[in-house]
Amino acid sequence: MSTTPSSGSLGNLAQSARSGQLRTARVIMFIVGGLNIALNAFGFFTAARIVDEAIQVEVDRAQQQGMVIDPSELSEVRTRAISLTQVFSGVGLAVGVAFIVLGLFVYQIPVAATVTALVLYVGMYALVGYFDPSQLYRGLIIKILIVVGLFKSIQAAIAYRQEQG
Amino acid sequence: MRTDSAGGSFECPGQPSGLACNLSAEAVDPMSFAEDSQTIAPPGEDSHRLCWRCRLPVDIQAPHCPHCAAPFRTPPVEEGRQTLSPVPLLVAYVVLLFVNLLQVAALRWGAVQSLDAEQLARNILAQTALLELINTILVVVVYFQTRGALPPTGSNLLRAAFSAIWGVGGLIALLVVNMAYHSWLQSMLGTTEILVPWNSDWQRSVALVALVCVQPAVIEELFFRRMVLDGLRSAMSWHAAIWISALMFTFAHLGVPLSLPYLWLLGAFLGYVRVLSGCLWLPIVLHFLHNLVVLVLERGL
Repeated sequence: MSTTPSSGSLGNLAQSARSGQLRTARVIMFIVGGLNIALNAFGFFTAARIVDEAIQVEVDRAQQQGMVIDPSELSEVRTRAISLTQVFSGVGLAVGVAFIVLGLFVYQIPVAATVTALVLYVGMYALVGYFDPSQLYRGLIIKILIVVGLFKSIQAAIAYRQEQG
Repeated sequence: MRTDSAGGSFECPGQPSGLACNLSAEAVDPMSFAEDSQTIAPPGEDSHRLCWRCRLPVDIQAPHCPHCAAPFRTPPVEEGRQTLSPVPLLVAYVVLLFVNLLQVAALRWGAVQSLDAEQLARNILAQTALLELINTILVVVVYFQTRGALPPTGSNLLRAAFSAIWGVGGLIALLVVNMAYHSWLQSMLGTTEILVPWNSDWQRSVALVALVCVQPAVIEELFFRRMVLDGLRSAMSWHAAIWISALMFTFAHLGVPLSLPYLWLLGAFLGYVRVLSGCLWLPIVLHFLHNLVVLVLERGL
């Protein structure tokens, strides 16, 4: 009778730790996806109000400088801005849904799900930073923690997949 | 000599010419294998697997089937060669993404600072050249760090020539989609992109072709279709690796945010060309042609 743990039980322990890391990845994906869906759904349905407020600020500033606003041009700009806001909110909503779906499939396709989540997260972060650079440093520590968590999940997913065969 | 289902015959690999193949009926039963290439063990050796498409035995080291040219999802790992983990490539990608973000910020700053169109064009070209140089250095450094672990490309001329034919057809179809998509965008949102005129003098035209067509075609294909795609395919299926590397390629083009959905399609197309042709020069040529056509269409001859 052996008194030392067999390599099988050690393997099970390691696999259990990887499984725990994948569970963390799933939680991250669900939280990021849920927040994306909530914020972008709000943006999509209140696009007209958001655009009107932004336009009003610009119009006030322009009038203070003595500029004259052409109402027909303003109306055209408003329509385009609303379309653009809705397009981007729609894309954000789709990305949120994608995070949820990736979270659901994290045990079936661990490497593909975690790598896609990381690429989507970093890519969307850079894209938002392109439009609004102030977003780059807002909540930076949480964003770094999410990226580190996803990187660790990818490493765990690769090991998990190799163990599964 | 065995006869396949189509009535043709083939020599059994590993056996002298004319000798019968000694694979048992059980070993070649399609139901006993998954869809991907599976290793089978002819008696006495462990060096063959069945092709997932034609079900004929293939050397385990072959990157594609010599009978039907089907690529294998999981490339064999050479003895002594380490497998390429996607993690360092993803770290390099995150760095590249931030270099691109810097590039976009620099271009915007240049646009604000420049008062006349000529100065603006010069600023855009100079900043693009500088940041493309940084991208190039970064990709070349990562390539030399990882090339020992990269699987061989494994192409042959016939396969590449066949891929080139459908690749050019696919490229034309994609360019039509590109024009339709951007016409629709323009009608919906109008255009705000600043274009550097390319026919003002020949030096600027050469610089534009180098910066818009040559550098992206070579460096992006080397990074996304060679390093990233091959790194990912060691850990997942071909299709997943192609679409994920295409997604990474998409986000690397932050300067044209409205074109991102189209760029995902283009990235996937180039990924399939890379996988099915087995070579890297074909996606490089197609990428170059794509960018050249877009450049000419945007700025006129």
